[in-house]
Amino acid sequence: MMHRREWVYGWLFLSPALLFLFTFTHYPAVKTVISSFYSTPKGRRPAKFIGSENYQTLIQDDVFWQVLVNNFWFAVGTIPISIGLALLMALWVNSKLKGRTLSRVAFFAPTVLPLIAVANIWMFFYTPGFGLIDQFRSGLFGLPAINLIGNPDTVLAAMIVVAIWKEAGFFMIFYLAALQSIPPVLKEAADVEGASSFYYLRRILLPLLMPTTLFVSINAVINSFRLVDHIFVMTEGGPDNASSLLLYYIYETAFKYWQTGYAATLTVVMLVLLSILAIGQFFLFDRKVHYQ
Amino acid sequence: MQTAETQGRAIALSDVTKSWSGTLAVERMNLQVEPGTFTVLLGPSGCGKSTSLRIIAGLEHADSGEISIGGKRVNDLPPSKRDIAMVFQSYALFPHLSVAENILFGLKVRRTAKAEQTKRLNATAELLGLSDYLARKPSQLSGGQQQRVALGRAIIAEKSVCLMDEPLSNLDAKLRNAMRMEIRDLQQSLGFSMVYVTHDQAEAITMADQVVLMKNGRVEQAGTPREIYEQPATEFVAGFIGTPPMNVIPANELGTALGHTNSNLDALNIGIRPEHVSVSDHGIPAVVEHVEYLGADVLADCRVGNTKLLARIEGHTTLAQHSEVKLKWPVEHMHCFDRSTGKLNKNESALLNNLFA
Repeated sequence: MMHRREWVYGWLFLSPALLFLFTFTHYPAVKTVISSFYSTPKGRRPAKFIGSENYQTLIQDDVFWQVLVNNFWFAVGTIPISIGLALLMALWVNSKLKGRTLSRVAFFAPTVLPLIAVANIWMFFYTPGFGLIDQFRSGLFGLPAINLIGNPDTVLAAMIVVAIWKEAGFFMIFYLAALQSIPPVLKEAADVEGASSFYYLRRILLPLLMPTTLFVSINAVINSFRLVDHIFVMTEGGPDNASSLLLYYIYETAFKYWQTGYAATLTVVMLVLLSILAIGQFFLFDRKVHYQ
Repeated sequence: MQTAETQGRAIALSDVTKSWSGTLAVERMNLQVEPGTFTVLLGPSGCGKSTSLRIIAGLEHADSGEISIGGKRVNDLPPSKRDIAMVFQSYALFPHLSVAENILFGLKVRRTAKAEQTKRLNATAELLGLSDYLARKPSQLSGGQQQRVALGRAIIAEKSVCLMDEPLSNLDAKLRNAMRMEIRDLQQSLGFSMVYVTHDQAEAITMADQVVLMKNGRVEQAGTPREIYEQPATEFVAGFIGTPPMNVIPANELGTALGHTNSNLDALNIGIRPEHVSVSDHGIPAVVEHVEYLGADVLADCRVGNTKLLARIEGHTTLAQHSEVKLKWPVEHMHCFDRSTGKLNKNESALLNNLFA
C-alpha cells in the first residue's frame, strides 16, 4: 500500500520537468528525425514521404560541405585556445595576487555581456579604416587599412577570436571552482618533497582538474556548433559562406529559404555529430579522469 | 629499513616569533631537539604548536629568531632543502595517485634510480604492512591505512628529521593507541629526529623523550614526560597533564581547614595530584560530595572549605556520599604555586610543611 503511494508521488514530482522536456526537447527531436524523411510542405501540398532523398541532396550540397569544414576549423581554433586560456587565467586569479577580485570580474565580464552587444563592439574593432585595429596599424606602424571580416581568408579567424574572447572567461569560472576545491595542503606536501611548481602543475593539479577539463571540453564542442549569434550580427555567414557555420546554415535553410524538410535533415546530421563527439570524449577521457 | 640507521639531526629554535596581522602566534620560542630523539609539542588549540612545526618545516616564515637544523641556519631555505619529511593531519595524500605512487612521490621528484625506488618501496611497504595495497587509490583505503601511506611517504626517503602535525587525530581511539606505539618504534628503529604536534596529553606522555608544553604562543615547560608530570613548572602545566589533572587549590582554604592562619598563604596555591590524596583518621577535614567507582580506583569529589578537591583512592575503600572524612597526602608530592604568576614557588615549601606539622 505504502509502496504504491510512494511510486505515485515519485512520478508526480517528476512530471513538471518531464512535461517540459518532452514538449520542448524530446518531441521536437523525434519530429525532426521524422521530418528529415519528408518533403517540405508548400501551400496546399502537404509533406510527403521521400525516403532518403534529402540525404542524397545533402551529400551533393557544396555549401553543406563548406559549412562543415568551416565548423571544423572554427572548433579547432576555439576549443584548445579557450580552454588553455581559461586554465591560465584560473591559475592566475587563484594565486595570491593583489586585486584578484577585480581580475576575476574582468575575466568573467565577457560571459555576462549579451553576445549581440559583444558582436557590435568587435564590429567597431574590425571596422576598416577607423576601427581600433586599424587605428593601431596605421598609428603605430603606418600600415594600410585592412578589412578582416570582408575577406574570405580572414573572416573565420576574426570570428574565432571573438568566440575565444567570449568563452575563455566562462570556462575560467569552472576551473577556478575546481582549483579552490583542491586542498592547499597538497601543495605543501609537494613542497616538502621538493616538487617544482611545474611538476606540481603537471603531476597533481592537471590530473585533479581532469573532470573539469572533460566537462569544459564537452561544453566547448557543443558551443562551437551552437555559438552563432555573432555570425548573425557581424557577417551573416559571408563573404561567400566563408564564415557560415552549420547551425547558421540550418537557420538560413529553414527560415530564409523555408526548406524545412532539408533543414530537418541538416539538424539530424548536427545532432548525430554532436552525440558522437560527446560520447567519444567520455570514452577518450574516462580512463584518465579521476573523480573524487 | 634496508640501510643502516638514519642519522637524526638536532633542531634548535631560538627566540622565534611569528604573528599574523598583529596576533602573536608564537612568541620568543626556544626549543632544543637532540639528534635522534622524539619531541612532542603539546598544548590546547591555538597555542602555536602547529605554527612552530610549520616554521621548522619552512612552510611558514618566522618574523624573527633563528631556526637551525643540524647546527646549520635554515631560516631562508625552502622546505625541500631542509632534509625534512612531514606527515599532515589530513594526510595530504594525492587522491589520483596509487599508494605506490604516493609513497614514491618524493623519490620520483628527485629522479632517484628506478631500481632504488623499487627496493625502497618494497622495504617501506613491508615495514608498514602496505604490500597488498600498493595498486589501490587512497579513497579505497581505511583511515588507518591512509595514515600508513602518509607515514610511508615520510620515511621512504630516510630524511634526518620527521615532522608530524596531529597525525592520529582522525583515527578512532583503539587504532590511535596501536599507531602510537608503531610510530614510536619506527622513530627508534630508523633513528631520525621527530617533532610531533598533538593536543592529546596521553600521546605526548607515552611517546615523547621530551615534551614541550605550550600556551598562548609561549613554552610553559619543556622536559621529559616524568619531569612534566612530577615537577610541573606552572599551574597551567599541573592542570593540563594527568587524567584527572592535578588539584590546584588556594593555600589559605587549606590553612583555614587545618586551623592555621598565615597571611603568606593568601598569595599561594597548592597543587596535589588526586592519586596522592588518601583517606586517613587525621588530616584535613572534608565532605565527600560525589563518589565514582571505577573498579581499581574510586574517584571521590570532596569539598574542603569552599573548594573542591578530587581524590583517587583504592577501589576497595568504601566512601558514603555526604560523609565527613579526613584527607592527607605526603608533603613531598605537594606543589606550591604563586597565585599571581602561576609559577612554581620553591621558597614557600617550608611554610607548607608546617601546615601538616
